[in-house]
Amino acid sequence: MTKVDYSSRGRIAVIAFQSPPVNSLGFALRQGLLAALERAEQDPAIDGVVLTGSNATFSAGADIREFGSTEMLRGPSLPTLNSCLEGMSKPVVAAIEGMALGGGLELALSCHHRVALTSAKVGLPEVKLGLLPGAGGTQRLPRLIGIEGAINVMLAGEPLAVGLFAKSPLFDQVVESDLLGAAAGLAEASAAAVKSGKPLPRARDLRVREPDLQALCQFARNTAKTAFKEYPAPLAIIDAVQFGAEKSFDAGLLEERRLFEQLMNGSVSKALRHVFFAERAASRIDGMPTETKAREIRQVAVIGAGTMGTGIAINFLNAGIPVRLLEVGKEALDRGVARIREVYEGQLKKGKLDAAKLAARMDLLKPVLEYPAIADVDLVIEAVFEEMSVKEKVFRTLDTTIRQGAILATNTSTLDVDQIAAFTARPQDVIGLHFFSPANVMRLLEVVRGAKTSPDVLATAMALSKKIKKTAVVSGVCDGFIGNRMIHRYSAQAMQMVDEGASPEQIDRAVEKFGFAMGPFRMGDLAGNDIGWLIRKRKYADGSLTERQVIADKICELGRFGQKTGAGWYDYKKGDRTAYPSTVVAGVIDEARKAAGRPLRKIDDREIVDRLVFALVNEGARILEEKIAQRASDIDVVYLMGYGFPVWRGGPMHYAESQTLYEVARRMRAFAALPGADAKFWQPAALIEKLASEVRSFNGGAA
Amino acid sequence: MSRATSGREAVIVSTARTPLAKSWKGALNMTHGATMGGHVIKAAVERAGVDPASIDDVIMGCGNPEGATGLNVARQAALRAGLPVTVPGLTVARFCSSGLQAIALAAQRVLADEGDVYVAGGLESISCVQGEANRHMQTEGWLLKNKPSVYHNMLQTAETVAARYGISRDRQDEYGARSQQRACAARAAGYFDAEIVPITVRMAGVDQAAGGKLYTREVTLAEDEGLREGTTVEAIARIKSATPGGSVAAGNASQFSDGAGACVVMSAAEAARVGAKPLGIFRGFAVAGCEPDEMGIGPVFAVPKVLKRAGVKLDDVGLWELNEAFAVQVLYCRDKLGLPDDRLNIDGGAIAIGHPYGMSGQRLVGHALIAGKRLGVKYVVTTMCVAGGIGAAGLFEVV
Repeated sequence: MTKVDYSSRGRIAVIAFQSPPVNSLGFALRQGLLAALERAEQDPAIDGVVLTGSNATFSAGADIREFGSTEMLRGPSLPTLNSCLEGMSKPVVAAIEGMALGGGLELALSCHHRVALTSAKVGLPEVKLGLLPGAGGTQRLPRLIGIEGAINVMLAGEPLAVGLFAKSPLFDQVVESDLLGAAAGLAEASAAAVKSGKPLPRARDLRVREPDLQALCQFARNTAKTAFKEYPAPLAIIDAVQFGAEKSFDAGLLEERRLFEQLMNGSVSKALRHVFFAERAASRIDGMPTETKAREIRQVAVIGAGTMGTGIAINFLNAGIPVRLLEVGKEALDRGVARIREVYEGQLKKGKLDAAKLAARMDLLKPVLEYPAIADVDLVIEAVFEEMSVKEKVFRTLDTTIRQGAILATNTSTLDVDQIAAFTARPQDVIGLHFFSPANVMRLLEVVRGAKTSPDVLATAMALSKKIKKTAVVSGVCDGFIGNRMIHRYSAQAMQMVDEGASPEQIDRAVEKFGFAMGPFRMGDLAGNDIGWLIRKRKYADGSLTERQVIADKICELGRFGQKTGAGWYDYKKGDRTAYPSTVVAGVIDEARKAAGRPLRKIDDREIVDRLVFALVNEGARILEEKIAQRASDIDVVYLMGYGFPVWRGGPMHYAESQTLYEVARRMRAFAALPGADAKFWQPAALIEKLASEVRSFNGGAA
Repeated sequence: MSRATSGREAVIVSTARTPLAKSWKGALNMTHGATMGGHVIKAAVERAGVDPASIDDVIMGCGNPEGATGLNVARQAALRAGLPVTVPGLTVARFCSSGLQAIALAAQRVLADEGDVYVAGGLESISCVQGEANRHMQTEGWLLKNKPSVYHNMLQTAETVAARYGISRDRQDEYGARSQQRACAARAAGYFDAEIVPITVRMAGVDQAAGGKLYTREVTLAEDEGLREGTTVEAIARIKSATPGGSVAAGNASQFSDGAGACVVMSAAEAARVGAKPLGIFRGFAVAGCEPDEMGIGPVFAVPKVLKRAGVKLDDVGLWELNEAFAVQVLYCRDKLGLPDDRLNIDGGAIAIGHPYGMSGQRLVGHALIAGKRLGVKYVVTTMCVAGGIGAAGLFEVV
């Protein structure tokens, strides 16, 4: 009963949710609320009820932690509660301040009256978790605001200002202040009306007025099919709305429940819920001493005014943190500043930024040419050329010029962060901040924790990532960290399948059909094939790579670096990013295959997808074994945010779980047995074999 | 002519059509077949000035007469037009020639002395029907094995015509651009005004600027939506072909559209009696079959048939309306039949204006009579290819 506060205001009972921070409708609150309603119903001294929130919010909805568990439907469930509310013989008024979202709004829709503060927001965000409002929302909302409005609210899933609905029966009143007074007054007036024989207004009794119901719903469906492709929830919402409008309120409730359960058990909602929790989990650092305090970051310096450095700088400028951009040459520095201005001017043109904000952001930027000019900053991020000798020079200089206590970060994507830290006398202050290109756009940030990185430096990086609106994932030190280490395996499989008989087009098409934003070859053409070539050449030279990638090297030798040179794995036409299959590349492949003298075979799309994705999974599992990643869901976050893995599949590790690890291991062993396979790589990671044998999954649950 | 001996003549005394709206995105995307049908029937009857109670039947063509255009939509449309319950209704379906078939049927019934006053035309809502079609047992096993081409989609048949007769993408695009240019010029000159009757409806749309929000609003559709001013060959040559490696693309094929049109067809004597002014006289109708995989060439067989029967020479025809299902088949038919370019689809065609399958025949007849009068010609022919491998052709004399 602690979750609900019961008091009275004259002859009106005031029931206030007490479940901070957002009054989510978990079992305890639901139980308390039902008991309070029953008490009010039976108390002869009470004529009506006001339902209200606390902490300046009504309710943010269902308790998502209950999703998928038996707690979610433990009586009284939300649908039960709503039907009890609707069936009260005394008027119930929802008094809405702050947020009434999801189940919170559905609760309010089941009340006889609703009053809201003008500042309040309402919404049904279930669609974002691949669900539909499952507690009557698909039935009550259309009856209050119409089919068109209800579909828009439910498909957008965004919190909306109550003002948008002020003229609809959704709200009896929208008030500037004294919400409780207004609600109590309404309850009294309504109670008087009941006494004079008037029935209580209930959303379920309203008729849906939509002359073009079928046409409108089908239009909405056709639109949703293209806008939401792989996501079933929008269509289910439209189906539930139309069903209830055509049949009856009660039939609609049953259909809503049926569709809700179908979505809840479906793979897309499971993936989206996994992603929801994965994103939250990513910011947690295991084993962090509780007393750890993040350092304050007031001044940032970025070294290197190239594409990466300027992209990184923009993140801080956007967050209102002053940036000193350091570049040793005046010309390069000017170009960097111009690049930043260009980005902002582009946003200005699109109306995403106004002139005053542009000026304010540019004011925060201070271009400098010498290290002493950044001596007093709190954080330095190095974004210079990817070569250890260059990094060494920078970090030795930083060590002698930057004040003690500042954080020294490297944006390296491939080099050993511990080695870089060792160039300084303060390795505890060194950390990797691996931004993804374009750094001002991509949401992912790999925070690379060196062997000696101190907890408060790590905590600072994680706190800072939130400030600059990045999703940070902690990675240990290894070649390529989490993301690139895995992508190397993926790329190697793609190349190997070309050797075996698949074409780049077929591979791209198969994996794009699976849902990747871009296949490996189109991706290579976009990022530039020369980057990998440079790395390979270095590795050929130092002997760390012995097997030559004949085809990929030849493509680069021909100057086919990708879109920037008008040709790569594909041909490109001027001003057209469409990838056209290339006869030149086909020739190169043909020649290499002939030279290798290996028999070709037809590889079907399923094998292509499995080999690419399971290559990620096997390497991901090894990354977990080596404790490079803290948890499997972190790996998923990296792939969803940084590598275009389809969100609705939940990331590579979640996807593997959804296929069962037993099946994944079985497929891996089959790949190991293929002619010419890298049998050692395809040996399933010990972690996969272990979990599969225990019928468990990466993320702890059974699978 | 055999008709003369019977002493009866069938005349078309009025025409009225909705502007054609783009399917799915256009103004008629929530409009029921009976609504648009009723609208044009009412207008055609008013324009003819005939007594509604005197109408013997309402015959409406429809390519896909089901769902929003099902349940004998002609009967529904007649009632929706406000005609008395004593006026019956008949829906006829021969895909893209349904509208012409309806007019021919009305004329034939006049000539057969079955009645004196008919409403005939066509309607199609691709928006509300095509995606919802009943596909249960749509194909038959024996045909699927022995004559699968009867199930080819229209795009496939167009590509077959292109490949079989060597008609390049360039030529198709050139024709497509010209259709747009001619239609735009015709509209600017007001050449569609006399046939169009604006319609006010509720439509649905998506506000992309507001994050894909759904909206509905009332609109008055007063002009064909498919016309694009300033269309050039260069511009449409850049459009991706509908099938990889194919030659048929959005710029050289008819547009999916919704719309309805109706004519009043009467016996000449009754028209004279009530003072209805004929636009033209029905002189003949013919259909002919061809291979389904090249259905686009159907007019090549139907046109000689109708002309021969009527005793009219090809050179005597002053205006040709050959439905532009695809530029490729128009080009083939034009060259094979030897039709003069300056007398063929002079005000553009379905590539620009749109092609609501079962309605198009009505539009072509109405427009041919109005345009024929403008040009001072005697005979006009409207012809089209039909899914499944059929050509249809109608011959009319301009009054």
